[in-house]
Amino acid sequence: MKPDLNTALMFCAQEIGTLFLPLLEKEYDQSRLGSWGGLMLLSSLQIDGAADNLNKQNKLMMEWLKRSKKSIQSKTLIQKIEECESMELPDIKISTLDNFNQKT
Amino acid sequence: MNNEAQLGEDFIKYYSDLNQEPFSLGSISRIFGGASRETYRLSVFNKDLDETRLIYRRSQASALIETDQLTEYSAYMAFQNSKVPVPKTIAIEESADSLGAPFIIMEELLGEAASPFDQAAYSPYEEELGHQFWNILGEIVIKDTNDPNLSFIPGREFEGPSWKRELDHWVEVIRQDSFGVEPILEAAIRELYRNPPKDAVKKCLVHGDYRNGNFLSKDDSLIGILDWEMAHIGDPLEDLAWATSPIWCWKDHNRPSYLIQKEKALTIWQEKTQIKIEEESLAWWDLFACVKGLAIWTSAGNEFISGSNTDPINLFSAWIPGDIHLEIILETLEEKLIKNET
Repeated sequence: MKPDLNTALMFCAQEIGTLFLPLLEKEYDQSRLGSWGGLMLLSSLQIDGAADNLNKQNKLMMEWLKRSKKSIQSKTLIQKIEECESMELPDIKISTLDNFNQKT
Repeated sequence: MNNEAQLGEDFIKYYSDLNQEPFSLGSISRIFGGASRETYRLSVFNKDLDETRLIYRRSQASALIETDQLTEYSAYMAFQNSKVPVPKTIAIEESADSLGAPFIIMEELLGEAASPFDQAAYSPYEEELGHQFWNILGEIVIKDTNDPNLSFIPGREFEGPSWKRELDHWVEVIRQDSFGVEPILEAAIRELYRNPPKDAVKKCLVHGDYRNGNFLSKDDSLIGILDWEMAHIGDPLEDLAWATSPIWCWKDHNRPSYLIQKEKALTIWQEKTQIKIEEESLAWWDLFACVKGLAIWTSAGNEFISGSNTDPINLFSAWIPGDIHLEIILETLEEKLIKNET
C-alpha cells in the first residue's frame, strides 16, 4: 500500500513549519508561509473525507427533492429534478460530485 | 532592489516632500493579514535622528472589498482626539500618481492585534477591554453624523431603509462573485427580504467590521479601533449584530469577541446609546451578518479561484469562516422553523 495523500500533505506541512519557516527573514513572508502550512495541514485532514461528504450531501439533497416533488407546481422544476434523479455519474471524482451538487 | 525596498525609497521621497524636510528610511515591512489593503509598517528619521513610526496602507490592484481610501480616512479624521481611539492621520492620496496606488498614512499605534479566532487572545484583561469595546461602539453610534469629516461616508444620500441598502449591496456582491449556488445562503437571503426589520431608530455611523481582531490593545487598554474601510451611514444594530455574531466567539457563543458576557455587553451598549434593543430587529441583523460575511468570504474565494489574489488569507476565508456562517444560518433558520411550527 502506498502512503496516503493526506499523510504526505501532513508531513509537508510539518516541514514547512519547522524547516523552511525559520529560514525566512521577513515577518510578512514568515506569516504567509506559515498560513500555507496551516492550510495544508487542514487539507490533509479534510481530503480523506471530502468525496464522501459531497456524496452524502448529494444523496440528502436528492432525497429531499424527491420528497418535495409532489408539492412543486412548476413543470420545468419537476423536469429538472427528474433529470437529476435519472443522471448517472461517470465517476466519483470530487469535481464530478461537486458538479452534481450544483445541479441539484 | 526588491519591490519593498523600492517602495520604501519612493515613500521616503514623498514623505520628505510632504513635510518639506529630509527624512531617511529606517525600515519598511509588510504586515500580514487583511486582504483589501497592503499595509506596511515604516520607521523614518528626520535630520536630528528623531524616529517616527508610520503605517502606510495602499490599495491593492485586486481588492477583496472594493472601497475607496477616503471612507477609512474620513472615519479616522472624525475621531481624532476623541473617546474613540484611532491612529493619528497624516496624509491621504486618492490617485495613483504619487506612489502607484491610492494610500493613506497614519502614525503607528504600539499595540497588539489579536486573531479573531483566538479564544484567549485578551486574557487576563477580557473584563476591562470588554467594557471599553462596547462603550466605544456606543460612542460610534452617538457620533454626530453631521461632522464635516463624515460628509464622504457612503449611505448618507440613501433615503430608503438602511437594511435594504445593505442587503441589496451584499446580495449584489454575492451575485457578482459566486462561482456556484449555495442553497443555504439563498434561503437566508429569501428570509431577510420576506421579513425585514423595523426602520432604524436613528441613522448613525456604522464601522462595518467592528469585532475582535480589528482593534489594538496594550495590556488592559484598548488603544485603537482600526479597519474602517467598510464604514457607512446606517442602522445602529448592524455593528452590534456583527460584533456579537457567533463567528467571532465560535468556542464561547455567549462571550462575543471573546470579551465579556453578551448580556452585559448589550446592557453597556444600551446605556451608552440610549437605544432600546428591539429583539426581532436585532435577530434580522444577526442573520444579515451571516449573509454579509458570506459575501465577503465568497469574494475572497473568487479572488483565489480566479488567480487575481492568491494570498492564503483568501483561501482560509473561503474555507473556514464560510462554513461557520453557513452553520449559523442553518441553526437560525431551523430555530425559526421550530418556533413557527409551535
